Amino acid sequence: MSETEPIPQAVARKPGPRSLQLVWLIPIIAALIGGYIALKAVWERGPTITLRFLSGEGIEAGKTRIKHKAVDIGTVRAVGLSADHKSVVVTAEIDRRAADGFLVEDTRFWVVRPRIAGGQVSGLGTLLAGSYIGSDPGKSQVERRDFEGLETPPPITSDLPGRQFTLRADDMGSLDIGSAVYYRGIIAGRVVSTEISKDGRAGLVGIFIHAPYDRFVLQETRFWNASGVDLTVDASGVNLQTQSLVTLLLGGLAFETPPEQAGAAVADAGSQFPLWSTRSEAMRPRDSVVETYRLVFHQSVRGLAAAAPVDFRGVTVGEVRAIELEYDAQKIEFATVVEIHLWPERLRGRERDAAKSSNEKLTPAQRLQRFVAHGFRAQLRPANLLTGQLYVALDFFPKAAPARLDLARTPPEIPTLPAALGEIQESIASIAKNLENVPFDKLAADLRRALGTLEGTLKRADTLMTQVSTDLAPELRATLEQARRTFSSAEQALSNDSPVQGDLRGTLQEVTRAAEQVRALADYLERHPESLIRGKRSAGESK
Amino acid sequence: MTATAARAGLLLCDTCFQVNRADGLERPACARCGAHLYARKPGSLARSWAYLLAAAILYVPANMLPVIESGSLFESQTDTILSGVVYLWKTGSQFLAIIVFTASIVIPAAKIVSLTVLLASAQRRSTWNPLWRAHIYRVTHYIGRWSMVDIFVGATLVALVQLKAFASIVPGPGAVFFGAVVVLTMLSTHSFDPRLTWDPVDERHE
Repeated sequence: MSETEPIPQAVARKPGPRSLQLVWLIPIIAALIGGYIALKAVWERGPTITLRFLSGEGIEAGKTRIKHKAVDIGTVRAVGLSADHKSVVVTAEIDRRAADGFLVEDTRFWVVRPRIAGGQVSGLGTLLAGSYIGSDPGKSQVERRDFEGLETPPPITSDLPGRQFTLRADDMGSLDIGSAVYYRGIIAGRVVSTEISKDGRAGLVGIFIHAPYDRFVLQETRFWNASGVDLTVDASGVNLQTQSLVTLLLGGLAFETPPEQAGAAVADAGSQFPLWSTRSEAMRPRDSVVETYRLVFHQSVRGLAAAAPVDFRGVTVGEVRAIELEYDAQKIEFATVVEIHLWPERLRGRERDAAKSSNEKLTPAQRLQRFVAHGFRAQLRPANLLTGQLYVALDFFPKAAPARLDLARTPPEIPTLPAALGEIQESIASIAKNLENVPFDKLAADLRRALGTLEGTLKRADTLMTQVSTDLAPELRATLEQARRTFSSAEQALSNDSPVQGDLRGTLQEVTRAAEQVRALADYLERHPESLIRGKRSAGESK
Repeated sequence: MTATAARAGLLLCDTCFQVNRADGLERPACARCGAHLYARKPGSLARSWAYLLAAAILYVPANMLPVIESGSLFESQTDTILSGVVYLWKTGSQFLAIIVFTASIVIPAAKIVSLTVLLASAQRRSTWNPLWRAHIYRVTHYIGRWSMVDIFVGATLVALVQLKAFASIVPGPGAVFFGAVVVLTMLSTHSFDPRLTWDPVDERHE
């Protein structure tokens, strides 16, 4: 190229629209997007809660999720120890959308780990993916930010339809959280809690009955422990009852309403029922009305025990609850106070016909007061002469000294009569009479004579024994010696290398040879019978 | 006084590289291909600033939001660039961690910073250390394309790991912002006219 070549002249261009300022839209849009994201992050940043657990096993900061119905609602932000180093404090952030109305007083949190309990396996997914924190929203309105975590997952979540009841049991048996509650063989609910009552005298079993079945729990429903085998032997024979095999192994409860109580009202949620140990015990008719009375005896009540029957003409109408001693400081004497429970329903008069019934409506106690005026008394009677057990008998004693039932006292006192000693005395007297007839002196003489004879016999036996030991013993020894010698010579004679044996063997061999000879002779004779007459031929002739 | 094309009234066509004589024309166009002719990129500083500002803004969500959401049979996990680096470092791949950290965090940040320096100095018509600034410009221009490493890795993984229920990888929103940051810084570099660095220097020499 050279300088001579001209540089072309630029041409003029038509003016166009200037779009320079449009470039500023880009940072504006970027700022809008960035701002939106930042605002969203701030807006969605939910409240922070703290949870306390006994163990931080499987909980990782930044990784462990908080879930409800398997949906993530939050993340654990930090895991640390409490100030006293006794529990683990987990700080977690809950999504704002999930947090609304979720973080209330009775919301529950627990760590979901693989678990095998009550015949159920749960949380298997966490084996590989790691634990997470499960949650169950509460129904309270009071907001809360710090929670005590549960150690085991609650068997029932709050959104399940159904109702919860409490059972009072003397013994839990094999019941555990998660044990099934059966209604006519169908699993109608589960045991959700087991605890000991505040006074420590009974176990409280919390159960949850699912919705369609909870209406079968009436006020008169009976619950019993179906964990075991109920084997009863009674007048009707052997009776064996079990629930399913699973309950046998894992424990379970069952409930049923006695048919005669089918009309009872549906029980309120949270009501308490007694837990009976067997179905037969549970379904026994109950005396709903129980009245307490006290009896005062001025005699020994040895043989009377709590739960002893209170009997009216052979029908049990109550039972003994307690026996106590009372000291009267003025009279300086002791009285035995027996507290009894009466089931007045069993004492009820035949007043089915309302028209014939007395016009005045008497309470059972008032009725009893009237009875007492007519000689109604309590008395201790022996139930069993051999064991000395007593029972309380109620009866009318028209000749008894007048007394009255003081209803003002609690419990009212039913007047008593001294024990029915008459009967006992009578029988004892007859025994004594018979004893009198026994000729004791004659018996004694006989006995003495018999003893004398026995003494003579013993003496003779003694002399015999000495004779035996002095005369017989040396003889016996000599005999034994001789016997031993005989045995040893016999042993020699019989041993393998003894001359007798050798001789015997030689003899036997001889005998064998002789027998062979005889056989040869016999053979020969068989073939040549004529030889008997002609004599044995020479070898040459025989051919 | 240094002789430059602009002073000689000559303009180079950016499209066909034809040298043209401007001769005081108000709006010159290339005699050969008809493209716009200008001594310095029009609005270079403003454009660069705009792109740079946008890139700086988006740099924040690019690093805060997850770039990859991986899900396996039992759990799902979201990773931002930084958490990925931490994960690589913790699991023993320190070398990879350094590469990813450099390519994805240091380089974009360095680009934003160096562009800011270049733009600010050009705007103030500073004569400070022009050689060094020219060097920065070249390096910035050169390394721009390498910042996309993360996006490439993500794109490859997303395409490869699609086993439905067992394992899947999905790009997160952070990836979009990260890509935008890289593109915007490249645009910013591209819009910057390096001749602006030298203009004040030449003027001072006069």
